[in-house]
Amino acid sequence: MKNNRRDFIKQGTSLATAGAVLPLTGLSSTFNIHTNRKPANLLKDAGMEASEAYFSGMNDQKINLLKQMDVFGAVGGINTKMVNMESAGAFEEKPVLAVKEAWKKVGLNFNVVEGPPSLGEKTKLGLEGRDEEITNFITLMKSLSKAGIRVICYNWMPVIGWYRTDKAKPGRGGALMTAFDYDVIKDEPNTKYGMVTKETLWKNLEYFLKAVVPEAEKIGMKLAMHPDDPQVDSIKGIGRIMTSVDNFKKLVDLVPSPSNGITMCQGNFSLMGADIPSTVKYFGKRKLIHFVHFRNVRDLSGKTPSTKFEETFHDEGQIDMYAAMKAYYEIGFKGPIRPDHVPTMAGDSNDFPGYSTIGSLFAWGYIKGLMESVQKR
Amino acid sequence: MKKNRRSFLKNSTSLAAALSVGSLNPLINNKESKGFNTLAGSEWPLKANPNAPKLCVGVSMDADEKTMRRIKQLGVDYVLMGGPKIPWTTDVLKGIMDRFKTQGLTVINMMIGGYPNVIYGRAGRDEEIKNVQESLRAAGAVGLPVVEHNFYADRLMEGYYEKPARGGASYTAFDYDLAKDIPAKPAIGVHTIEELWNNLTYFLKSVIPVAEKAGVRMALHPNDPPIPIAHGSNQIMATLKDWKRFISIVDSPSNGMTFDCGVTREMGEDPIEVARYLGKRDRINHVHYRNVIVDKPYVKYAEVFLDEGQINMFNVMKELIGMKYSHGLYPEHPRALDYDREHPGGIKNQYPGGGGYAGETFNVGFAKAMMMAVQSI
Repeated sequence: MKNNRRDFIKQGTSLATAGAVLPLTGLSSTFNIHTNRKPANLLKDAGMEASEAYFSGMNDQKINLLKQMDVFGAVGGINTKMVNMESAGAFEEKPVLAVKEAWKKVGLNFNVVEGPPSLGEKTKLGLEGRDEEITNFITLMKSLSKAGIRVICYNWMPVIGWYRTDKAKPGRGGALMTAFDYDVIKDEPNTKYGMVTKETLWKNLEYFLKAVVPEAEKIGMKLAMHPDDPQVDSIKGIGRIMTSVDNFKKLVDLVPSPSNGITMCQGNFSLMGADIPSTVKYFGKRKLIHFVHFRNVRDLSGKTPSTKFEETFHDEGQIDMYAAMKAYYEIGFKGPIRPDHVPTMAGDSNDFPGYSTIGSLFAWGYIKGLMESVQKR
Repeated sequence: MKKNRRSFLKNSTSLAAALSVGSLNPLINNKESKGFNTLAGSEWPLKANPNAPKLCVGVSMDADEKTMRRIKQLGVDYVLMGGPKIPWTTDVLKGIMDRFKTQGLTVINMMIGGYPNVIYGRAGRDEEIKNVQESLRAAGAVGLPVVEHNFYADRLMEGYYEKPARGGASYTAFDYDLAKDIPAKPAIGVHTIEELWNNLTYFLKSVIPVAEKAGVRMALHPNDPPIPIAHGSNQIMATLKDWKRFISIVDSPSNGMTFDCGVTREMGEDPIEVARYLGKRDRINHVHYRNVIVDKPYVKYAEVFLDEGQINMFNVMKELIGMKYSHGLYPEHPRALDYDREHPGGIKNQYPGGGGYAGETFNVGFAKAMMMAVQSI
């Protein structure tokens, strides 16, 4: 027995190098140790920047967990309070650099500003004071550029932004989904801004783009327009324009520039009736996808664009997620990608609907699986 | 728009068609077709495929409703567990299975054990065998398709240790040096290869015909860690040669194995080749889907995240789905994550560095993506 044991250890160490049969111990390694290794050219995360949103601030638990998931991109706003600079404008260089540094300290790369400061109602509605907002926005871009942040995810939804009529709709196993049904709010009165037409919104958007895109281009800043969510015709008298693929084409044609791009939010594009892979290819070929929201949805209205829908788990909605991931990989998308909304799962509170920690974990397992799969077929 | 709207519902199930070149607006689903992904020959969303592996997770047979809901939220419909004390009866098994059924979960595998005299070839083994036979008949009667078992003289758990992983997560690592000199426990003694093979053979010849008749498949889990000697006794299911010998003892699909791609790789073998060998003979009755990084086969390795080990998990899935393997697939051995460490009772794991619900959530997401990807191509 003693002998065997000693032999075994000696030979165990040689097994790695030997594909050879070792008849004495019966320990044979019939296949070379490297035969089933992943190919060396496999790109981590298919070459994309795996990122997560931190809209509720620097949540330690979430930060630790995402690092353990090998996800190092951080998406969020510029919170001056976080860096004790409340008297400064969030667009100024100092707080922006401080925020970047704060994320760096916890080991994350703050790579996308989603919901940029100094782009508010005045600009979107064309009110007095918009020029000041736009000037500040240009300052923000320069500040971000200094900090090495290259992507700004913005939207054109004045007054009413992200909107859901149900933030706790039971899904599989009682997980909670967010949902929207236009019928629930169709009779609601207008806001204090009254009717805001699509023409007005387009006009204001054009004004904004003409002012900021040339500046963005100079410093390599990537503007990534997010679709309206929900992508319906109007809510409470306020028109919605980023609601179709054609309108996104119109957007990028208004001021053609590598800086005038989009956030490929799969949920909204799918609810517009768009086919995700071919839409990704269309904008991807033009190098205009600057950010990806990799999420899944289920239309319940039968209409285009959808007027009633729910946000599902990644593996059960109407989007072919494999085909979607493959499309990003094939266009050579290298930018930030995040799972976006996920159902709230058992063990998590529903305080931030769409951003359940454990839900994100499931999403990341799924996304990492796809990122690996699309490179291996 | 109107037209698009009407055709959306019909076509929302037909992504692939929109991929075709030459349609007027390639971004909108405006072509009729039978379903999503018709190019790839599969429908979207993927329906449960009777010829695909059944994704399952482990759970206690006493699990409460909350635990069952968690599993459903992961999109998992199958569970496995340690079975009750032998002899199993139809009443007890049915009671357990029905309880899970109320939450939409199907029990597809129970581990059987509690027959030490069989393993050591001692007096009293015939009575234990009778209890196992009775249990198998009960399993067949209630439609439990797979019964898993182990055959260790005394498993060497002492070689496992916790090893730091990305972001402070943990691996379960194994180093034979830590435990190779631990002597046999007096109550167990030292058992030779011949003795253990004889005892296993005696057991299989007594129970496999009963399993076969009952319509039950038995799945022997290989020795893990697959070192040749544990606590002074030989291990007989710790090399590929052993596995091949095992399935030849009783030539029946009821005498199958748990194909564990992790253990396969720990032995320096190629999981694809081994899956093919066992699959061709219809001997894969259960699958453990996990990844490893091996320093030295058999003696030094770490169980790692599914997305970072040496095993090409995509190819493993592809092989299994390709051979129409349709029993359980368990993405087991979650890594320890902070989320579970921070939740009271979040980690009840016999392995150092092993995790809980959060780790499992990531694993299930990953395995689902792999299953989906393979079926999409």
